[in-house]
Order: sequence, then structure tokens, then C-alpha cells
Amino acid sequence: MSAPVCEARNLRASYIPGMPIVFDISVTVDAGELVTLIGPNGAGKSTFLKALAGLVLVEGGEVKLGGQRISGLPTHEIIAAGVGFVPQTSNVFSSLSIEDNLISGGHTLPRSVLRERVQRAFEHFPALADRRRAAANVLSGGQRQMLAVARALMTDPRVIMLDEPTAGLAPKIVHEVLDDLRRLAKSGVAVLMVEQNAKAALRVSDRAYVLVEGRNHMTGTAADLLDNDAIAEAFLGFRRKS
Amino acid sequence: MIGQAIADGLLTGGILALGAIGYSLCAHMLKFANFAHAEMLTWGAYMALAVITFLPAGQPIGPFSFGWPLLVAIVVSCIGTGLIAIAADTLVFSRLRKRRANSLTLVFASFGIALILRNLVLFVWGADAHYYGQELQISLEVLPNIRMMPDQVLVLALTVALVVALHLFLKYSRIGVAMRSMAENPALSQVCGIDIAKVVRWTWMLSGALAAIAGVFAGLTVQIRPEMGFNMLLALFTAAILGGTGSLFGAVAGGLIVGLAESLSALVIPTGYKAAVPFGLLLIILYLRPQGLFSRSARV
Repeated sequence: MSAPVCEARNLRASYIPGMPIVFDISVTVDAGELVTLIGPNGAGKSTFLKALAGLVLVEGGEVKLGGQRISGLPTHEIIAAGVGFVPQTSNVFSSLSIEDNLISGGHTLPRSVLRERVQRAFEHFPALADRRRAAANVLSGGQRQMLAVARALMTDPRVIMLDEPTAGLAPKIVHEVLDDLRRLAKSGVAVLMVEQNAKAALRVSDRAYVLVEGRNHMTGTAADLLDNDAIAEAFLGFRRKS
Repeated sequence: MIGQAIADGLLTGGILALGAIGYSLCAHMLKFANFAHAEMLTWGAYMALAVITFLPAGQPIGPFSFGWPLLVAIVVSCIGTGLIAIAADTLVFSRLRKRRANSLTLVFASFGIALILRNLVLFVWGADAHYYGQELQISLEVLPNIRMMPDQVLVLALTVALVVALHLFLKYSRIGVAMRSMAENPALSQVCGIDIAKVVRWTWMLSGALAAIAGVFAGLTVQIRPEMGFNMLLALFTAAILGGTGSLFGAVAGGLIVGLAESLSALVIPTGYKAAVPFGLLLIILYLRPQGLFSRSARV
């Protein structure tokens, strides 16, 4: 059996050495799979995602990408190894043009490939192409998210990680963004996202992990978790009629 | 009289602009006011002097006061001053950043570095004024009643060329885009795969090189003295703040405004008060538009 595209095993992570926020979390994501991390506020979901990208201190456990250990590497090397990352806030360079945002995303690419990837991004996201020279701060919330994803895809990552990609978006846009992520996973990219809007996220996900207080609480297919009464009541905001 | 004052102001302003751009780049990227930047101008000027001393004397080029050794010296001085800036960052600033020191700590550290650098110049070269050459120049009448030395005309032309080259570098080069990205959001730059340590080194190198050129130009058009950078410090800061920290053309405009204000003030107030002009300008800017003339919003 081949190794999962991305695998975190017994990960322990902190912002301040010796004061972990994430204790012993294990997650795997395969190619073409959309996996969601859900849980209450303070569960360590975002910190876990940042730990995968090397943005916070990893104090224990390991992260592998395609079987190769990447934990402990500096962030730019983790990204170059094949990870795309979309932060929750400030996920585009507002003062830079849309095109320069994409160029920043392709910083590690050779010049000839970079041009072709920028072009490809504009073909995939025509709404961005129309305003390529405009500063990113003129974009709407949904368009900014689109640009953030396009930027993260510039390097053709094997796994893309998104921290609350629908935060602050209108309900209609939420579904568009999640449908886009579903299509992205279908194209073969491994997608791992943290999402507060658990119900909407589970509807497009293959699997999910429920994190509580920095630990794995439960895992299963998205369909199973949607059918689970305890999960529905605790995290999805509704109670099933008996 | 006014025309001559404007020409002199533009020359001073051009030199200030080069120094202010370097300062502004670092301040925008690393979020602190580097008081040691002015000493980089001094070191740039003296390094070029040292190189000229070791090279065989060359004939002056055309109407200028210097020969090819100064051109070689400028290149060596740019690299050398850039390396001093990188060394200051590696030995002091980056260690403080790793320990999450606040910007005020970095400012005080830069005072310390400035004192070390200035006194090293005094120790090595002494307190006397130096010159790159002893050639006498005949001033040219560039416009009716406006006379400039050929060196001064060249300095102005090179300043314009450097600003344009720098603009193109920041706008179109890979590292230029990375520098602009990092100035806005270092964490996001990291997840774009940008090696921020490398970008920081580039910033110091560029800032040091621009300071060196400004120092050589100041030395060429006035004289080389250990306190030359320190004497320009306030004017540099005023130029950068006036233009808006992080704005290339803002720093240029700021430099020109300060240079012109200093020069024109001599027509209405005693020249002894000329040094107070940047102080006055700085106070007015901080009161009316603290984010600078060319910044869209206030920066924190």
C-alpha cells in the first residue's frame, strides 16, 4: 500500500516552547481526498494546520509528505516540497496586484514555468484575469479567497491546506468555494481544511477528524459523521428528530 | 539666485533621496528605524576612498574630477557596505528578532552600531576631511544664471538612473516582488515558499549599496568627513517619513523636498539655521500627515 500524500503522526505543537496547544494528533490525507478538521473553538485545528506548514513549533511527532519527513524543515522548504497553504486571514497581499500575488505564490518556480502557471491560473479563474493589474484589496471576499487558492496552487502542490476558507463569506459564496474545493480534490490534489461551518464542509468532504482540546476525538467518513447524533448536536448545530 | 538655490537643492535632494530609499526599504521591511543607516553612507564614502588609495591614479574622465579608479571604488564600496549591513543584521538585529525583541530595542541597538561604526572611521582615517581627487573643475552654465560642476550634473543624472533601475528591479524582478510581499506580510510570504532570511539579506545589501553610493556622491560633491553620515541623519529620516516609509518614489520626493527646503531657506534665514529646516519639516509632517505624503494609510 502506498504512503498517504500527507501524514501527521502523534503531532505535538506549540507557539511557546513547552506549552503545547496540539497534543498527539494524527491525520492522513490521500490524493484526491478532501478531509476536514472540525471541532470547537480552541481545539487546536488552526495550530495543527500551521504546524504542518512549519509555521509553529513542532515539539513531537512527525509530518510526512509522500513518505518523506518534512517536519522540522523551514516553511519555504515545506512549501517547495509540495504543500500549498491558505491562511484564514490576510491570505492575499492587498497592496500587490493580482498578478503579483500569483507571482509571489510561484516564487520557487523557474521563470518559464512561472509565466505559464500565471496564465493557467487566469484560465481557471477568469474573474481574476479581468483585473490582473488591479491591487488585490479591490476584490470581494469570495474573489480574495479565489485568489488565495489560485496563489497556493501555483506550485502544483500535492496537498493544499486551507484554514477556514469560508470564514466571513456570504452563504451563497460559501457553497461556491466548497464546491470549488470538491472539484480541486477530484482533480487529484489532496485537500485538508479546517472549517467552522462543519455542516456545509462535511457535505463536500470525504472524511473528517473531530478535534477537541488538542487531541483526536473522533474520525470517520463525512457521511457517518453527518449521521452521528452526538456530533450533529455538539458541532453541527442541530438535533435530529427521534 | 533662486534658480541656483533650486539647482543646489536638487543636488542635495538627490543624494538624500538615495540614502532615504535605503533607509525606507529597511524600515518598511523590518519595522524599525535604523539609526546606523547614516553611518553606512560614511562607510561607503571611506571605503571608496580606501580603494582609490590602493589603485593607480587614473586620468580624469572628460570634464569630471575623477578617473576610472572611482568607478571601481564605487562598485567595491557598494558590495563592502552591503556586507557591513548584512554583518550588523547577522550579529545584532537578527538575534534580537529571534528573541522577539520589540522595535524600540532594535532602535537602541542601531544607536550602538552607529556609534561603533562612526568611531571606527575616526580610528582608521582620523578626523580630517578627505577628497577623492585634487582636480579643479570649471563650472558649466546649465541654464541661464545656473552653474553646476560637471561632477554635480553627473551625480544628478546617475541618481535619476539609479531610481529608475531600482523601480524596475522592485517591480519586475523575482526578488523585488518577494521584497514587496514580505514587507506587507512576512507569514504569508513564507507560505508562498519565499525564503525570508534571503529576502532580508537582499534588503540589507540593497540598502547598504544605496547608502554607499549616496556617501560617495556626497564625498564627491562636498568632502569626506567621519560625521558626514551623522549630519545627514535627520534629513534622511525626514525624507523617508515625508514620502511615506516603504514608498520608493515617496523617498525620492521626500529627499528632493528636504534638499530644496534646506537650500531655499538660506535665502530667507541665516545659513546657521539651515540644519533646523528638516526638524521643522519633520514636525509639520508628523502633525499633519504622519503616514507620509505618498502612503495611502497610516502604518503601525
